[in-house]
Amino acid sequence: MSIENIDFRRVKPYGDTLNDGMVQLSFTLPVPYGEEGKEAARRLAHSMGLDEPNVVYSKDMGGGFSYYIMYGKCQHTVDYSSIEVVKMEVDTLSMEEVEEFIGKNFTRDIVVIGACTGTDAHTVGIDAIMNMKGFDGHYGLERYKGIEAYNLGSQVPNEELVAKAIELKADAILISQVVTQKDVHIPNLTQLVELLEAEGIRDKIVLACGGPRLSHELAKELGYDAGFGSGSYAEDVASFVVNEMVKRNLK
Amino acid sequence: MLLLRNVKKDYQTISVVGMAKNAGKTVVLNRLIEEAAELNTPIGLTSTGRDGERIDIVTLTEKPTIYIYEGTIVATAKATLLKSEAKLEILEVTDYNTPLGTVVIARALTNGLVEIAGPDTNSQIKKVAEKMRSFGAKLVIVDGAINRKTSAAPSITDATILATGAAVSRDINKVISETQHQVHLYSIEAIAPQDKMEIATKIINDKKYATIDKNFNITFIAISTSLNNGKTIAGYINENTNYVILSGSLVSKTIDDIISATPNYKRVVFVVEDATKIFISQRDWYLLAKRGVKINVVNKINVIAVTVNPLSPYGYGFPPEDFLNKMKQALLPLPVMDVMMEDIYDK
Ligand code: B12
Repeated sequence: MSIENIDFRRVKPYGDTLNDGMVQLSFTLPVPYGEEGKEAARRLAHSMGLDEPNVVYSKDMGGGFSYYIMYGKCQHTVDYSSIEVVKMEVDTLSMEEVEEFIGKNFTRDIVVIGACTGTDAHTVGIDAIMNMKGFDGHYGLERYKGIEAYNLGSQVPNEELVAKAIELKADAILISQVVTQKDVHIPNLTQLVELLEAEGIRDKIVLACGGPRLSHELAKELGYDAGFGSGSYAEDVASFVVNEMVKRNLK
Repeated sequence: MLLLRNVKKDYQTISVVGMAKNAGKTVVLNRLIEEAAELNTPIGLTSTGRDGERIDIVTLTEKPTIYIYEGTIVATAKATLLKSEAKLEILEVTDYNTPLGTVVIARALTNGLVEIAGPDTNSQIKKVAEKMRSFGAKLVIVDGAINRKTSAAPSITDATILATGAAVSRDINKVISETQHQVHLYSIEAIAPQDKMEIATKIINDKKYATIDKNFNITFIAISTSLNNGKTIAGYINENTNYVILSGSLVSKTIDDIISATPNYKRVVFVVEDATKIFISQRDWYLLAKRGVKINVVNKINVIAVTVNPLSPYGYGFPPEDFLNKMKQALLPLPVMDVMMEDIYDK
């Protein structure tokens, strides 16, 4: 199969032939394990837009719940050629390069505070960015020479965070939001911006948010300088922060 | 009803802010563009978020587009400028950066659709509004993003339209009471005695914290924020204190801490710059008022009108007439209008 045959205006999932639409998905139903459950799973998958839905695996979860893995053929296509995703314009430097950049451009350490805010209790994401040992072989900001990193942990109220930012004279604030059910992250993220504006310090701070369902594009609407999605590392956000500080003359 | 009829001649900038995402801000914006065109008022447009893109990036639902007329000035980020269908002449490339690129000021050479994403911070919005006026816009309209409302601060825009709607909550009564609370905050009285007003304004402009006593003695409070400093502030309040002037924000916890530390809180009036600095929920506001807490502002917000959108992008809605009437009742004497339905009736 050659790439020229692909119609980028009508892309379908690929299984083993082009445009076969093959999809695998899994879910749990609150119904007992059995033939009725499998049929329910098939009908549901069909309603989701899958042709020839097939239960390839199912399991009794106990307590009247059952689990299904389905195969099916997606009926829909997506116009890949029309997609434009807003991306960060900054190139990512390595930890050493960031340290060198700070040494060259600043005469002091940069103060960065990070937190997972509101009711959100997921610490792993912000820890991945902040903690000394880092994540996936990428050291966190606490290890960077020239960066004074403070990880405030999770469930931090916006007010506490802003009070801390003022006390520490923070240069950058990094917010993690992992729970996005019912869009709870949105008013929580905008409230922080409003509070920073009210305190008169929004212009002095590089403000970034991150999490598996956040994007650089959404960051604009929220009033943040940048947004980082899944698979981001400390050096991505560090590169952005130091560049932005120089651009905005926040030395 | 004309929204712009309520706009006084001396207003140079107006903001449209929303109680929630999808409260109908863009529809209001379009309405203002049409009205200004009929009145032959040259306008400038910008947004603290992003407007005119066809698909909402959170809900993936369709959004209203923005159609502008020749001569309109816009301040928008590079990425959105390039997507606009109206032919635009670049007037100035600013230093303001956004995730969508640098903000550019441009004039429409033809009628057409545009996408607008202006600067991110209030101070930049203010500067960009001034620039658009210097390029000939008589009225600058600043559209707010999501539920961000600080562009309503009188230091940023002269007057405000508040957009509310079913998107705020599935419970119609909750939508009404939350909107009412917001309007109450916007209606907080300015500090009355002229002389004290002058002192308070000076303290706030200097970003200081202070008390004023009945003999006009000013005592500065050595703090850099009122956040987490309620107890310290309480220490400065005595029997002779008249006013407590607080720059920056005012949150419930600050007042709670003051109340628990001094009974003299009842004798004083707390003064903040304007209502966008207040972060107090409706419930807390009610409880604080009952306990005798008095709050004034230095700058009062001019609310021109409240607009309602009876539909939510989450697939539910309220009976339009019922919603509009209840909202009108709750907000009397403020003008309330349903821009969505009026649009439909017109067609
Ligand atoms: C571990 C976990 C928990 C643990 C958290 C422990 C802890 N100390 O963090 C516990 C058990 C406590 C938990 C609780 C809950 N969880 Co949970 N949890 C997870 C799980 C399995 C992994 C999350 C994780 O650690 N990922 C690893 C990190 C490294 O990835 P990351 O967070 O995406 O971070 C990366 C990037 O996003 C980015 N990043 C993240 N933040 C930031 C910030 C900045 C500034 C930058 C630059 C980058 C950045 O960089 C990181 C590294 O690349 C996920 C499912 C999953 N597999 O993802 C569910 C999940 C996140 N949880 C979920 C839910 C619903 C909950 C609960 C509400 C469950 C409940 N009903 O009680 C509670 C919430 C409690 C609360 N108040 O928040 C849902 C969220 C759904 C949604 N869309 O909102 C998920 C997706 C599970 C699911 N599929 O339903 N959870």
